[in-house]
Amino acid sequence: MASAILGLMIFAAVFGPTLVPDAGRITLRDRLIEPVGFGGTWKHPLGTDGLGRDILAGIVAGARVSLAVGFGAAIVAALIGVPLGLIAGYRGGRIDRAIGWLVDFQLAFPALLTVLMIAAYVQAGIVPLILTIGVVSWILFARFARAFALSARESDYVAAAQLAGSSTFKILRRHLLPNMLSPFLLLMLLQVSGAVLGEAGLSFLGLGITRPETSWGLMIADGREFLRTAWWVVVLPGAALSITILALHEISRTSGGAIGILESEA
Amino acid sequence: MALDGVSLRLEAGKCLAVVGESGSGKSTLARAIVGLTKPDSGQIRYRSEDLGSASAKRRRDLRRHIQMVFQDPYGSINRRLTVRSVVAEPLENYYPNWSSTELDARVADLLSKVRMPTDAVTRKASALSGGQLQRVGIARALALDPQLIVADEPVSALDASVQASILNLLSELKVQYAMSFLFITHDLAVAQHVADEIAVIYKGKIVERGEARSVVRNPQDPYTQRLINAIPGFRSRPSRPIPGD
Repeated sequence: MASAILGLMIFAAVFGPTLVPDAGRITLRDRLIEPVGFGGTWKHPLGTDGLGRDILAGIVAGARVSLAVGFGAAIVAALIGVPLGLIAGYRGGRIDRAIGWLVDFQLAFPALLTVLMIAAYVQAGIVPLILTIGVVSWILFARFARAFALSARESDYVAAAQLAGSSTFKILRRHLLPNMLSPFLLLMLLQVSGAVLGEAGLSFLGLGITRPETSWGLMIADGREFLRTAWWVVVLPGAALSITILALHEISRTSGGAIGILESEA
Repeated sequence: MALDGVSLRLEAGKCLAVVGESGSGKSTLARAIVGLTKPDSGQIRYRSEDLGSASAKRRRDLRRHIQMVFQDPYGSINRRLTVRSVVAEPLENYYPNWSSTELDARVADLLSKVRMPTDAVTRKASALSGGQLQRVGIARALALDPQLIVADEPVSALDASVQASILNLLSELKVQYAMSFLFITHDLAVAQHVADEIAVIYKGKIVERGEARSVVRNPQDPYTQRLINAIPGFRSRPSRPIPGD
């Protein structure tokens, strides 16, 4: 079920704009049309917003932005956090303390402030959002990779690689990285959901995606003024967001068991 | 576990068994000799060269002559890799210029030395049995033509039926390639089977050392006597109380 929902969202993100074009077309004559079943017609199955833009088209177009930012930011965070965490845990000592200091710094420095500072200098858009959210969320990956490396460096397979004369880089890449893959993928899904929420939050605040592009957070922000009169403008993009987050968490939760089984068979 | 004043000398081409119960410090000794643990004090000398004070480069050159066979083949081999990558890893590091054909040939050669079928190269380590994995572990230890192999309880994690074949393989390799062996075990019977000399270690100290047969036939230390009496069907003489026990 959760995979089906996520699959549908990814499908919408990839093919949506060709299936449901004109996401941003403003038709003032068609303002605030209700969804089907609440007085609306099939011309706009999920109704329209305050500027007559089709909600379904908006949700489909928003899926592309949300998932691109979600996966992109999680990948950026992993690319920063995993190598730093692995080196910190494996080498220990001074390197570990230096990276630990970076982690503390990142923790103490409010993420929103970082985002605001970046937003002040860079034109908002998908790529800056990916980089920003990625940069502020690498800590979790770093901690996880460090904990893994700390225990793995005591293991015999790492001792054997040291005796074989392998360099630190080779040991990290060949022995540690593949062995942390499955818990890493679960963490990745959680980070994706965090980044999707982050994007929605930033776009809601006007720091993320801006028109004419659209995203779920932006649609929710635009619908605020109609909350009492036209609930669908806020609720439907909000539901898309919630369902996606729930699906990501559910997959992460259930595949924990599945990957465990795969591991024990391997 | 702390080692205290242990002094051991191993002649080239000989097999010395270090026998002791778990917690006696024998694994610490093994890890110190191969360089995985740094001794707080004392020296590890290889051909009268102190490994602790050698330069990093020199140490790397010397270390390749001292390899290790681990107790647990499941834990000491990365089971996501193929047999080829496991055995080739030391070769890649010390012979970076070798072509992949040269590596393949050497890996096949090593696998035949440990009596593994050559078609095993492409198999995942996770598909092998404990005994096969330990053979792969031995092949990896042999890859750099070491002068000394430290084997830390190399059969104790294996099925009884496989133990003998691995022990025989190690004995044959020792004779065939004139390597020195430091064989760490808790089992005097195993020690007698493979070793020329036996050193008995108890609470971090060496309590007895001598030619394998005479240690087993005529043990001097009360702790050795107790170990021998623990072997089924084997009894030396009535055991005396052990000082400090």
